[in-house]
Amino acid sequence: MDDFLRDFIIKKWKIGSLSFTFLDALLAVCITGTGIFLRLPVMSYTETGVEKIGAIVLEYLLAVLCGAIVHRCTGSRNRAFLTYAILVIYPTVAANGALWNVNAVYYVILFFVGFYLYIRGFRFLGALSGLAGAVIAVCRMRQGWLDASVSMNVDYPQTLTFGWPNFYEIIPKGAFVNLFDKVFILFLLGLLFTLAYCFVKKKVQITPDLALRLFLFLAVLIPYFAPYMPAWAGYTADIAALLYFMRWKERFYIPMLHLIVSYSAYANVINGETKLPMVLYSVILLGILVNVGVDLYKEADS
Amino acid sequence: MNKKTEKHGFLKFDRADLLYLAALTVIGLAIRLILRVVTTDDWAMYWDPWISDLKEMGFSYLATDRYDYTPTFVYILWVISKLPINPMTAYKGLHIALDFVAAVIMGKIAWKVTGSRLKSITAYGLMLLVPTIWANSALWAQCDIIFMTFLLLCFYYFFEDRPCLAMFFFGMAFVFKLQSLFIFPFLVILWVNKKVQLKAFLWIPALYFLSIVPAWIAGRPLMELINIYMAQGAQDVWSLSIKWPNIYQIIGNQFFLLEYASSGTWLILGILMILMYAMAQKRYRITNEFIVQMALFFAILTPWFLPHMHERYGCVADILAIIYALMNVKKFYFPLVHILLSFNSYMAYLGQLRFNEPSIYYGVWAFVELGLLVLVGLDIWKYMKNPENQLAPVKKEAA
Repeated sequence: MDDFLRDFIIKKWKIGSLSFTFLDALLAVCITGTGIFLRLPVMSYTETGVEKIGAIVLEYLLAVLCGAIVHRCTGSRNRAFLTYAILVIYPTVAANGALWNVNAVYYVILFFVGFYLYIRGFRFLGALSGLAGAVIAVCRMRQGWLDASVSMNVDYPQTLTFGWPNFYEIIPKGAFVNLFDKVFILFLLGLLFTLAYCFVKKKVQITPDLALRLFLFLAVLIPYFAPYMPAWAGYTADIAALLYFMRWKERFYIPMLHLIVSYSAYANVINGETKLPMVLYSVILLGILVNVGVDLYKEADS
Repeated sequence: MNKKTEKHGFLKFDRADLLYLAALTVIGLAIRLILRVVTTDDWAMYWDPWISDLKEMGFSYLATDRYDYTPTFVYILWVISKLPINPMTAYKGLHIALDFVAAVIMGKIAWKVTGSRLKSITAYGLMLLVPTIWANSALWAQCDIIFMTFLLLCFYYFFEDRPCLAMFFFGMAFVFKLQSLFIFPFLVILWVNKKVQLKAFLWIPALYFLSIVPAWIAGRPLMELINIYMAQGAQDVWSLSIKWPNIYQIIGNQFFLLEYASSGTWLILGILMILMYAMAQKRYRITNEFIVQMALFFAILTPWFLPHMHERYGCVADILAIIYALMNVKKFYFPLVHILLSFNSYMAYLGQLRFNEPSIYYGVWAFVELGLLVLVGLDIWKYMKNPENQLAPVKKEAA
């Protein structure tokens, strides 16, 4: 009986082109359920409406999509499946929708759809999807700034970061707000131009691996220097870091650290206090940025 | 690469190059135009009243002891006082223009030391984005870009193997700012290694003397003009470190103010003597990278021990760190960390932190700076230990 069960759980089943084991199916069902049960207790913290429910559904779809991306990048069924499983219970993803009702998944999913289309060869559609995500992200964040200004009864924001532990945690975040918000957008633009220029001049071929490195690099870089970033500004990088780890397992610490930073930023805003100084997270993020930047440079230069 | 090819190659741009250069020039300019409206304490307390006095008194202002900067800088203010535009706009406009000149020189240096047009063009672009550069001129209304531009020219001509011209520009840098002396010991090492002749050092006192002659003629006593840097050093003595992360931010910058001010100066002089003694024992192959390593080492070391260092005194190390990274991409973290550290010190002043500590304490930054010092020191040590870089010894010990 024991041997029968042992064989049974790893026996491959085939439905059409899809093959899976009993263990796969068991985990798929259990983790999907766990994802739901993990969200249920925290849902009452904010109002639950169609938007939140829709976001949760999209979070599951995002997990499936990321599994597909990992499968595409690594060819490993196990890693793809693990990606789905981890993302379903990923703390920042679950908290963003179910607990906080921010529902950033509505635009974040477009970045990953874009990335998937890009590595499948549909470059124009991929870029279009990414652009659509970026436009929605900017609109959502702009609305957040306006709401914050109204709630604080101020004409202009008083701080350069709205919770994301970025560069402004290191320099005084309340200094020259009305000037630095423009200056650092230009600074960021300058960096992006430089990156694009180097890629064009070196005639770098964007392979799926390089695309993944670039994707994570930008997902960390942009919120690091962009002003008025909310606490959930690391949402995209959280997920991209997981994909990064699935592709290069020696970089296991990147999603781990990024997730800690990201959830600490959530906690700081939701709880109103932080156990460790936020500047520490800024330094960690800088370390991640440098690490991924060096990886990107090496890959592009090879 | 001969000189003709070199010059021709530097100016050969394709469409992507031109687009990048135009974009970064516009971005660099836009950043500075946004910041030009800020009026800082330095402007309100020094430059503005000085310019007002110059407007009122004309050139005879130079006879007074109301200014504690070198007369050369006051000549610039005198010219500004004559212009029919807002003095702050004129002042910042001049320094902003120099930011661009410095960026071009940085690009030329990159071309010279790497031969890569890509690196040369990106060096120009990135130089315009460096926060400590735009914050110094456009935001703070400071004038460090003047002497930094001359220092960049000094390095450029050392790389061109024209040491006399290089020393001329070092002399020009000294005419504007005493901080240029932070890297003076490396010039002595170059002299020991026959890279520069002793007579070229005469540029430093000669240019300084020439620069004070108009003020002397205007009526200010010669001794006062010669001692202007000494008088400068006697000010701002209320703290052993004025927001610069150095040893005093670790041991305490508010104690033994007078005692440590004196002892600290002797300490760094002693350290520099020992280092120069050790480095003068043998002759070394002087490469461009070794020049930058040494200059960067002294640019970090000297303010690390000297008392009364200001927030901006890392600016020489900032630009040297950029050149170092251009030469050796593995050293990319030098400019990254140093500029972050430097900008943090800038913001401690500009953000009106006054006596409060920044988010990352000065003491922590001081250790970071020490780390950079050790790393560049180790690079120099490895270079000097490599037999390939050692030339015939200066003296042979008796058997």
